[in-house]
Amino acid sequence: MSSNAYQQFFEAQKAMFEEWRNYMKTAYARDLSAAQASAPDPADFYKKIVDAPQDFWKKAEESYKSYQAVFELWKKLAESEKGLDSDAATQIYDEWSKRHFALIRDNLTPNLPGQFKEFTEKFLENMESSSTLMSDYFKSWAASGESLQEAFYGALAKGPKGYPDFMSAWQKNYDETFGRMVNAPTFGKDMEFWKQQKTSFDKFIKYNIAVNKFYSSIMDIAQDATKKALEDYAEMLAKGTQHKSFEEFYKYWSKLVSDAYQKVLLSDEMSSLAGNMVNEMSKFKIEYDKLCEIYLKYIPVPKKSEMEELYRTVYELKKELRDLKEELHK
Amino acid sequence: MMKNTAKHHESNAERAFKIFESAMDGAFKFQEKMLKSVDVFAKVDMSEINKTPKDLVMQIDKMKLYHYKSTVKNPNPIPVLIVYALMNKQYIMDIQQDKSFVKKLLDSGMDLYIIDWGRPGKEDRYLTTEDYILGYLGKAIDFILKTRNLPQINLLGKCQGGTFCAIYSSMYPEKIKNLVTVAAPFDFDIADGLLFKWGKHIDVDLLVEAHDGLLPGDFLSNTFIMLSPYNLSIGKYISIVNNFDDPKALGEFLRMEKWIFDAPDQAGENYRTWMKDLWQENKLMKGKFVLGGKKIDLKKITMPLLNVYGTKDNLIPASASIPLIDLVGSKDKENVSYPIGHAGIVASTLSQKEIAPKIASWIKDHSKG
Repeated sequence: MSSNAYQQFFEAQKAMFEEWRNYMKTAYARDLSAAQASAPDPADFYKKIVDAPQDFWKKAEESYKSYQAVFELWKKLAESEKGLDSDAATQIYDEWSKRHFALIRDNLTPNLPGQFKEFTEKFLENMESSSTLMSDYFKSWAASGESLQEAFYGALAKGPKGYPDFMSAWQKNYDETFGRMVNAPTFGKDMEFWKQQKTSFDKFIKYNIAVNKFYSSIMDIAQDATKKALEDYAEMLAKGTQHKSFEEFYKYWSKLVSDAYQKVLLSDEMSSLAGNMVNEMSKFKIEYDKLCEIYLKYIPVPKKSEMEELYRTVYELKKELRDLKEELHK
Repeated sequence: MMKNTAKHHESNAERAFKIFESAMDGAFKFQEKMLKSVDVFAKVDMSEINKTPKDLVMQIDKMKLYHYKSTVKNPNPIPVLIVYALMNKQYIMDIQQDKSFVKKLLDSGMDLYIIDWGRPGKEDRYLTTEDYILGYLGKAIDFILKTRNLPQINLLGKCQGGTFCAIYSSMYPEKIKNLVTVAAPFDFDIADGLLFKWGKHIDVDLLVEAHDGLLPGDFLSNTFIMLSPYNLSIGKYISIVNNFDDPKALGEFLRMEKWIFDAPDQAGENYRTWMKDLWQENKLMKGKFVLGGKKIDLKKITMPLLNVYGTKDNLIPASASIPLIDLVGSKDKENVSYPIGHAGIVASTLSQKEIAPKIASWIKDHSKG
């Protein structure tokens, strides 16, 4: 495959663009987003041609979405002719914020251990808009407790920032209602199975609460940093010292976000949230694995508990063999 | 929000057109890069990784001991054994020829051995810290001493490998001529390390049990990403797209990317001890860490010590490495710092120009007599 052919193809397109640019100089500028939406994505073109070494390309493509989201943000700022009043800034921020959650979800979730990806992705889909989640799933339940109701309306007003409080209130309500049912004793000939199924479900709920608290706190970091970037930009705009290019703005914004992450992730609160998420993940997996073993009871495959015994025996035999060899060579 | 008071000479439409025009220019430049990168990508040489010639000289279970081929006529008479961490692969020290720490040390006259710990499977879940330090490391040292007919060797440990080397050196100081530790943690009770803070909140027993005694490498990779989530999961991929037509930059990026995500699973029993005794209870610093039935006293490290660390290391911050110097019994000891991060300390231009030459000359000077 010769790159010259591509080069020629590219030169032809470039020439067409020059023609078009000359025409456009006399015409009205169009909306960039619309043009981008209809244009072919170079990433798709590239993917058809070559497989990247490792799973690298997907990451680059996902990251490019983040870059584009920040570009849209900057574009709106750069286009604001009359400065930034609070309504305009809120609108710009809200539009960016909607895209940001998807970016966090798409870029961080793939790093979770394989078995957790699917669980987490499904739950996070529900959290994409906290207000939708609450309206669709929990609104009716909110009436059952005053504190939950308070947290529910608080979270609606505060957005992601209010979400951890709501989840805490929700968990309290769950523990006092469904949680008690789930953890009630079982009976009958399949009691072991039902008990394990309910325990797994309970741990699943708690794991998801922990994941949501952690993720919503992470969302807060970039959102607060972006609000700060908007405020700074408004001041720069007033002084005429705003960033002259998108590259400058991106550099400034990404440093602001990275510094904010660094500061918040080091806090005791975030350390505790992260630790809690890992612990709840472990508890859920342990109970879920036990449930799987029950499901596999009558299927002729070796089970985890049986393999563990085997591994220990192999480990001890290998050690014994090494020691005996050493004795023989003395 | 403040109102804009600056004068505007351009209409909204003019400004929008300029932005659009510049975006289209950018898009074309980007597309050009992508076209060029078809060839560039296909020609990236991943075989540069771990390329410096070496011979396999010993193997126990999955642990392999390699001896590098000397590149000078008369190498230093006392060989150096390099011990890397269990969490990532040792080939970061030989990531590509022009940044190979190993090659630089060889060219500086060192006679080098290196341990490859292998990749634990479920059958290795019961391997303990004692197995790693006294079993594999100890036996590799004994093998070198015996086959080379030497009373002592030099030890060079990176990260967790440095902690392992220090523990071993305190137990068998008579076998170690000099000790070099690079970006290695000793004080685990520090305020400026994210992993150190998060590690305190994790129930390690639960974590090991949940993963059937073998902690997934993916879990560790993800934890490392959380050290700087925006840069490591998004920002760096945006930056590299700008270098898609640069074979050198793209090659370096892809080799490093391969290493970062090449994290072996961790044997649960060793991980349990490492996290609980060291990260959570800081027993090594407190003189309460026990291995093979013996309490580890770092004061028994009496050989010359060179402790190297990076001031930009966010994985093992300098504050975790520096205290070693006050814990050892050595009279000849030195702390050396460089403005570099955790990987860069052994795989960067700075490590080629300053760090490896410093270590090589220190070892040479301390190998006499």
